[in-house]
Amino acid sequence: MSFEFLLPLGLLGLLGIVALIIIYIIRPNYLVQHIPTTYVWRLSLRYKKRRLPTSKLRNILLFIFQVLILAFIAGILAQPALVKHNASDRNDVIAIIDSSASMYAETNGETRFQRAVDSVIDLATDTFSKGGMVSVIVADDSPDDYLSRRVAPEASAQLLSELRALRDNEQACYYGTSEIDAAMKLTEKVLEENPSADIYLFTDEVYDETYAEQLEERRNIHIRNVNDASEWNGAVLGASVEIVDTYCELTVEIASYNKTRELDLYVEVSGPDVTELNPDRKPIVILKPVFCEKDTVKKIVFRYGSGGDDAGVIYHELGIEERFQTFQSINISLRTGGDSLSADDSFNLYGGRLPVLKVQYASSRRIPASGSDRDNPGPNPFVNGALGMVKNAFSRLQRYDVQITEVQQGKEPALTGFDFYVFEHDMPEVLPSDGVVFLLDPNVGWAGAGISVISVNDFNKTLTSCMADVDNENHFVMNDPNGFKLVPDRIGVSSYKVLTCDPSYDVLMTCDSDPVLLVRKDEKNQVAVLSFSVHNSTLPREIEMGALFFNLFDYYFPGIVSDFSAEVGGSVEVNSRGETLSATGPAAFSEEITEFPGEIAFTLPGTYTFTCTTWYDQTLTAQVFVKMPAEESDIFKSRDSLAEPDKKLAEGDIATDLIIYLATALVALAFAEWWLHTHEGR
Amino acid sequence: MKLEKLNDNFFSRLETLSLNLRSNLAGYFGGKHLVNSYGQTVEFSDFREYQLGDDIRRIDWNLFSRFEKYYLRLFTDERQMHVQIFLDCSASMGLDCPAKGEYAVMAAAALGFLAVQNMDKLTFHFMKEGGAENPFGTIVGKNSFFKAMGSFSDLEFDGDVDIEACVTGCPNVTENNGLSVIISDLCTDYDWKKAVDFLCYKKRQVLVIQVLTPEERDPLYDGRVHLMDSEAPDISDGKNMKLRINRAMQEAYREALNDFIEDAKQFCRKRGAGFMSVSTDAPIERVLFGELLKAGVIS
Repeated sequence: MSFEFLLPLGLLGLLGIVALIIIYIIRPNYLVQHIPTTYVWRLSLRYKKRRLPTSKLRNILLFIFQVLILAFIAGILAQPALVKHNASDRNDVIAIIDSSASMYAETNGETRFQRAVDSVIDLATDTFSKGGMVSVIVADDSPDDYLSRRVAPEASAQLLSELRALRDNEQACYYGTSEIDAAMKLTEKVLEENPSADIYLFTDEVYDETYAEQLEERRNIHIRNVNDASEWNGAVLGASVEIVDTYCELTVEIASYNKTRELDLYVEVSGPDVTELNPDRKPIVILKPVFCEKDTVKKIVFRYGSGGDDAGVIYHELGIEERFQTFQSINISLRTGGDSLSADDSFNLYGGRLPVLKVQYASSRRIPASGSDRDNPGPNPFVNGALGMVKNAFSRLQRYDVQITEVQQGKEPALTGFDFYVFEHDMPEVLPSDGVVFLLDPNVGWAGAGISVISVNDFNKTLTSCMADVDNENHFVMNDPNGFKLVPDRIGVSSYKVLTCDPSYDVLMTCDSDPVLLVRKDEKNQVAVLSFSVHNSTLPREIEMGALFFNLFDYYFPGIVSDFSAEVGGSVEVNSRGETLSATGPAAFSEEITEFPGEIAFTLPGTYTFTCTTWYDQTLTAQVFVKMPAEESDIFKSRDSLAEPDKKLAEGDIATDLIIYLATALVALAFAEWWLHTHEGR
Repeated sequence: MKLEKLNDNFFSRLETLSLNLRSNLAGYFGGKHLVNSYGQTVEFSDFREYQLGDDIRRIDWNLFSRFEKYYLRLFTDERQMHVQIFLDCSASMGLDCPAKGEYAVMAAAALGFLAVQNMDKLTFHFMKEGGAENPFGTIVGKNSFFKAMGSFSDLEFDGDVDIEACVTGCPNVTENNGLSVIISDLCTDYDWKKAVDFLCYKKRQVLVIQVLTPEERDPLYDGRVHLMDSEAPDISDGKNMKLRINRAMQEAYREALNDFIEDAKQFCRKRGAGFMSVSTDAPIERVLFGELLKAGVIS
């Protein structure tokens, strides 16, 4: 029989004692009272001491009672009980195997994970020989089930066989960060059946020795470290590129854990931009030795031009032949072999060259910019400005290289060869069929495109506000989660074309109950229509002008991937400009995505390739490099504490509830407190 | 300090009273107080046989006709009394509670008036720190008295007072020639009783008047209070106290005060001195016409 708290967290209520002490410390100040003399008060102290020697004792008792009351309340919250355990289940072990990426660190051809599994096999064999039961949990990113649960000696052969298979499976260990705490909580299922079961954690994380001993004594949790002191790891922790003075500046972070070493950093830039010195896009190769102190992260910056002055950063000046503005990919790796973990020795950067998005803008609304240009008026500057904003935004988002072509006055616009066509006022005789068409203030309609212009609704230079269509208030174009929320009330219109359209169009905005903004996105028919001229509205002076163009581009031309790099255990959002998107990756990973936006979660490191065919038979590709988490590269990382499982009562355990006794004592204390308070003044 | 109550109306009511002296008086100057020795007044006292050298004008011829012996008719003597009023001018008497100081001054003035009205000598001794000031000298007659009264409003209460040092150090405490009055709250760490002993030793009639405010008799404040003594030189002085005043503490205070007053009363009684403890909320007239009359100090 043992005394236990079934809910030890309830003891946190003892913090109330601290609160009580603080209350005593910060209680109100004395009230200052000026009197002629304190002579009689001084005399009265002697009387008080003579007559009431218990006064001080009463104050002490009051405080003690208050502390006891709080302690008893905390005790009640913690559910104290005298538990008589069922003795038959005492020989029960739960083995937790840490399967985080750092467990891939190997010595003499054997990984830490394999050593851990070997230890579990030994433990299981020993336990079975004593007639005990064995449970095994492999702690990956979300441990939600046992590898085996309470296996009796009769079934030991199967468990040992499973463990040996686990040891021999090279991919059994996870490449991300394992959730040891979740695994510890999972042990509660066995602890419900046998609270006295021993928990063994086989891990490479380093815990404080004293803490580990306390866990062993207090909760039967035994931490077994599978590290080897001779192991070390050189790692590429991360890399990024940014454009500085039109050239790429590459930043790399590397580290050497558990050993001070000089690491050879190898950088290979594949598919750089064409230059006079490199007309054939030959790869640029750089080898940089870097001296790394033990457990210290080194930051190396490769840049064209003189180096910077940040302390602790190593600057490598790129030569003229080494500089580049765009790239296909950059491979960064450590050529110094011999470290214990190889999964983090290289890193790939993608997204250095954006796919081109061709835009044609044709307008019959010519506007002279100044007196001298009166004979050669330009197109609508508001539309031009909005297109320029989209170009900049897409470049900044690393999505597309938007190339805008303006149709000169008197020339016919092209009807093929562009991804996005903007026609303002004068419409072509036939609509292009190889890209998205945006009709701005159309003067005619097309039956084939499901739209026709009926008349013009003119408010005679007075403005009427637009309204969002009730059914499409939250349409992607109206409320783009990556872009802007359009507020139609801010757009006033003095004249617009009255349109009729077939039901395949989504009416997004209306004016005087007539549709003024419509979009359509289906195979071969991707059309957007704005039925009023920007000159007959307040649209150009509102933020909605640029927002509308951005949202339209974001709607029709989503980025294939939301990011070009990720970590194991993470994910990226994927989109397609066609019907499907295919993803391939390491270890024959392959997946077909048909619902967008979709999400791909990564469990293995390496390069993942995403390919889609657009509605217009154009093939687009994007690559994402997935690496193991940087924190896993520190193969000797330490950890302060471990989540402890709640202790449960097993079937057959007899628990004598002590709450009634504590409650009785609590009432008695409360009564004593009340009595002392009421007699304080006497 | 405002002494608005010291007006003609107040003094006119005192004119019907006079100070009584229970003991014999020494001295040379005649006054209005009858003494046990024989003198030249018209108050008959006794007969005595004629002795050689007696004034023959005092022979009672009626007795001679009856007894054929010479008898002298003797008369009681009347002497002038010296009234000394020692007024405690410490801070506790009036710094934080002007009414207390005003009350003490009125009592001193009233007794002084009774003295000068009876043609007695009067001296005011203002006890400050370790000495007693006598700014007006010996006052005889109402003119001098009222002139002195005019300066009473300038009186300041400050600091602590050693009553014993003030009384024993007073230069003109003569023996057996009158009444000494000590007006104080007696709330002092110094031993005031030695002052009474000294005056008794000088065979003076002693009257101790203890003046206390109603708040001193029954404090109204309670809870956690930092009591600031008006005589404390600074906030860290030991006279200042931090107290948690509850009902028990208030009872202890009342008991301590009662015992303190009773002890003073017993002490004075043993030495034949008069003692009275008055509260400033009691009308001064009631004290003079009631308590002093009852105690026989005045008649």
